Amino acid sequence: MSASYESCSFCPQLCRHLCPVAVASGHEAATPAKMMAAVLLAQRGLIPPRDAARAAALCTNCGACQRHCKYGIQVPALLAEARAHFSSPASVAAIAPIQGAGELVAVQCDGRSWAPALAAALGQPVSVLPTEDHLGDALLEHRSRAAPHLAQLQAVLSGRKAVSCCSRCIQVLEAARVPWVRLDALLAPSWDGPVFLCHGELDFPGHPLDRAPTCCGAHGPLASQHPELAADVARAAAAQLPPSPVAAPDAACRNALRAAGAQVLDPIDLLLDTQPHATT
Amino acid sequence: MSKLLDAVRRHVPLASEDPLDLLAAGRDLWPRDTLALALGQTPPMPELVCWPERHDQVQALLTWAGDAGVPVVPYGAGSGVCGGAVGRPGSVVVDLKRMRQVIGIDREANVVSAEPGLLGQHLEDWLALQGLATRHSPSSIWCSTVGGWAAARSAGQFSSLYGKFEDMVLGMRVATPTGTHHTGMHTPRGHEDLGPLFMGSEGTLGIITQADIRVVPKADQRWLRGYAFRNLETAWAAMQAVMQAELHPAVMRLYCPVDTVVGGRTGDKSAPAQPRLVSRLLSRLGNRAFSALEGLDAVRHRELSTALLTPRLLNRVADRLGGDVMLIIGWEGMPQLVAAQVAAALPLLDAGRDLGAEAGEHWYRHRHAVSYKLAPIFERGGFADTMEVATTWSRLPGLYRAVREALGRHTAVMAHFSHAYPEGCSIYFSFAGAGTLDRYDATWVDALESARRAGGTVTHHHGVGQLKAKAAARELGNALRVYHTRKATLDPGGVMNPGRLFDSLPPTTQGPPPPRAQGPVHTVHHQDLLAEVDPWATPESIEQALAERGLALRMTPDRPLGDWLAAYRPEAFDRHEVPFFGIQARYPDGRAARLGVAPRSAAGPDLRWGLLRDARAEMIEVPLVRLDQPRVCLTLGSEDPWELGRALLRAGLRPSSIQCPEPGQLQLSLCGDAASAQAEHLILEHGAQRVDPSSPAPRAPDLGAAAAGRARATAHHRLSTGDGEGC
Repeated sequence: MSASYESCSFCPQLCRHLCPVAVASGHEAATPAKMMAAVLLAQRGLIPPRDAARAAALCTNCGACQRHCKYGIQVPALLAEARAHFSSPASVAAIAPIQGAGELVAVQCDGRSWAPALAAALGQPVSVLPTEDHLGDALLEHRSRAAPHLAQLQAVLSGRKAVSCCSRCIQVLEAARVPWVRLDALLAPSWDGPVFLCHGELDFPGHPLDRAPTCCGAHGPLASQHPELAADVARAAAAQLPPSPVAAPDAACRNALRAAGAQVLDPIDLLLDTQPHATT
Repeated sequence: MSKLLDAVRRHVPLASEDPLDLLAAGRDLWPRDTLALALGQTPPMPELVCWPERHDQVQALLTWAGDAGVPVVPYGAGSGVCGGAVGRPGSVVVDLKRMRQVIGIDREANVVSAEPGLLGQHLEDWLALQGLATRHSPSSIWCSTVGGWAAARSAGQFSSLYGKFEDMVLGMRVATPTGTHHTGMHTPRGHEDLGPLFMGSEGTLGIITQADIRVVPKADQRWLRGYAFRNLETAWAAMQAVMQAELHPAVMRLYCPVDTVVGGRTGDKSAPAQPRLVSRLLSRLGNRAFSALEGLDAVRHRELSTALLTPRLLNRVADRLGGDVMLIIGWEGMPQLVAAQVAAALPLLDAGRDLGAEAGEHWYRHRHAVSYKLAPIFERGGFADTMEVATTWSRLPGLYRAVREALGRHTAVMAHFSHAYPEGCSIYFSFAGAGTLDRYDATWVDALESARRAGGTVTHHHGVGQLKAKAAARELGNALRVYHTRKATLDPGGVMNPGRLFDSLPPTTQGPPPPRAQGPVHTVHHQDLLAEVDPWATPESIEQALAERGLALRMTPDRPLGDWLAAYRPEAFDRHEVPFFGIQARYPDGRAARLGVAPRSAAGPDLRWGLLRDARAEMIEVPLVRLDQPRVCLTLGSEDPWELGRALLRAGLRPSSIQCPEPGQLQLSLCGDAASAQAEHLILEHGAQRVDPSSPAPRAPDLGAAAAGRARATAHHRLSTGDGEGC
């Protein structure tokens, strides 16, 4: 494993002010440096591997620490590597067959059927790729195990273009190097207000939030393994949003922010509302 | 769930015994602990960590802990470098980072109230949206909290104009095991202001739950330059001249020859070549090795290891480097005032070579980057640390050489000089050595003892913690009785952060003998502009004795100094209005204590004010001004003179006195080389009128009226009622 765990462990925590988890939770263990230090200690056999895996799961993969680091240390990737090293790979479902013949493929991951509405809106056929585990994104942390899974996804989507508004699914599509487009980009311009994009890519025209932590905590292993801290992060993010509704294309972000009391619009809602006859 | 966790959760619902939380709270940024980690040791862990969200939770917890005898360790962002905020076995760590709100801002007064767990950068980000700033800018600003700044008497890079953090805090709310206290401007009438005691107490007396901090508008103009001087002595003289000319630079940092070369700061192509080939080779070797230490180059393991194992050789090489030293200097504020200060300062910098604005701006852009340089040294088997001492100008060269020599016996060392005052300056040593705990400890034992012997304080702004506990106690001697008397009341069970700061007491001694000198003025230190005077002599007799030497008191009291100081609250003074420097006082049992070896020591709390209360002063050391300094006295008419005064102070003006002698009138005394130019600006822009400095001084120190005026003025700046130059 990388020597960069040492670099971060000995660093005076110069990125901690940008870590959404460390800031929102107030937990010292959640700073990037302390997460990396826990991995280092586990490497040296000084703490149980299970603790290191839990420490490394305090990350949302937002990348704020990496962008700030003078040395460019890839903290999220290193923590993912540590999680893979210290924990067992998750089991994921096989990629389902695509339903329909349309070139555009709606990746439907939250139980709602929006492909017909999209087809009506675009005036072209849209097929469906259903998934209940975000195309098996949990496997991404175990890259060596993920290769066959990604190859299967590649084969299934061959010659087509995926449509999604879920950053977990998009992460898998990217890893499989298949063409994809975000749903709200297809529908744009559907709303004029600010848009909450995942992983710090904040797009708030004219809003002075560029230096604030903008991760909502819904991604990475944090939400699944430390849900109470993920809720802290969502509350902190919601508190920084403008009072007017914000659109969040990503389902996980949207749900986290809504649970934290924010008014958040959903492109799928918008799609379904504007095409009421297509909601069947 | 353990009984302890159950008990704590009754007061603070968010608490944890998770090993990850305990592990994280077992270490701060004390390099000794980082070295231990590098050597494969895990830190000792506390029993649990809790995260209060409100003052009342903190208060309830401390009341319970005091009764139950459970040790409590406050924890901010853990950026302390002396081991002061480290959870110890058996303790409850109170992590304050969920108390991170800006409570509010008084826009008229320019005071922001913040919770202790707010990270410094987040406070600045919030203020920046309002067009404001604290201008407290420590290099740890990304990883330190408001509470930590107060608890350890932090200093920022612009301290020469804005003061240390303790100068910016106008009031605090502090929870202790025996109850809540309000300090500074919130001190209840008739009570002792415990602000100076809590400030620097490092969590050993209570937990700060709110700080009210002075803020300033974003400066209209910044002027920054680099200057190359041929040696340290010449540069020290320039720094001293600038400070004693009342020019109040925002930044003044001088880098030693090694640090200058390593940083490539002067870029001096015209400097004479080293005369001999051997010297040139040594220079190249030294440059490479120190660059490696700073992590500036792609560090090669062997190169760095060699440097760390041969520090004496490396330091000898450094001695031969010679070459220029680099001074970064700058002003900020209202353009006209900045222009006046710069114009007055340029002649004082004549001995240096102007390197242009880029040298200063380069420093400004990278001013927080220094902390990145530490980790690579630990990674490669060494340790790196810093030591910040301070003393008066006259003792500065001796202190520098003594500490450098002591550190140099064990480590490769370089230094810079920052945080300058009219009376003296601090020195910031950076050093690195081979990574063993024995060598680390030996380095510090030698360095601390050398600082004490050379007459410096062992800490200017890093605080005490575990690292400097013995040395700080030795520095303060019998004055520690002031601390322990109050500790017994505030924390009778001794549960607050035990084992840090002043747990280790030096043996009580008789203390210094009474001053031998007769007359109102005992001793004058011309270079430092300080005088030791009889606290019970009349001000007139002191002034007369000083005038014969061409000097005057910086602040003229209207009664004997002992009485005058006893009547004032420390928070009534601003940084540039240091009311007194040192004190010697005798307790009723005949033992004496003396304080004041350096400006703005961070060796625990400022005990001078408590000593004034507890013991009879027999010597006060006061700051002086030279009678031949330019002085201008002005009056300005205004419907709201205090508001006008505040606006001028916010704009960067630093008058030696400011008062309202009658309704609708503000009277200023400007002192120093920029006084005339600043006066011209005030005459043109504000219709100020000159007043004959020789006319009788309006005696403002009617304490009641002055306090009323000040209450309005605390807004931005605390104003002195001292009439300084007597205009």
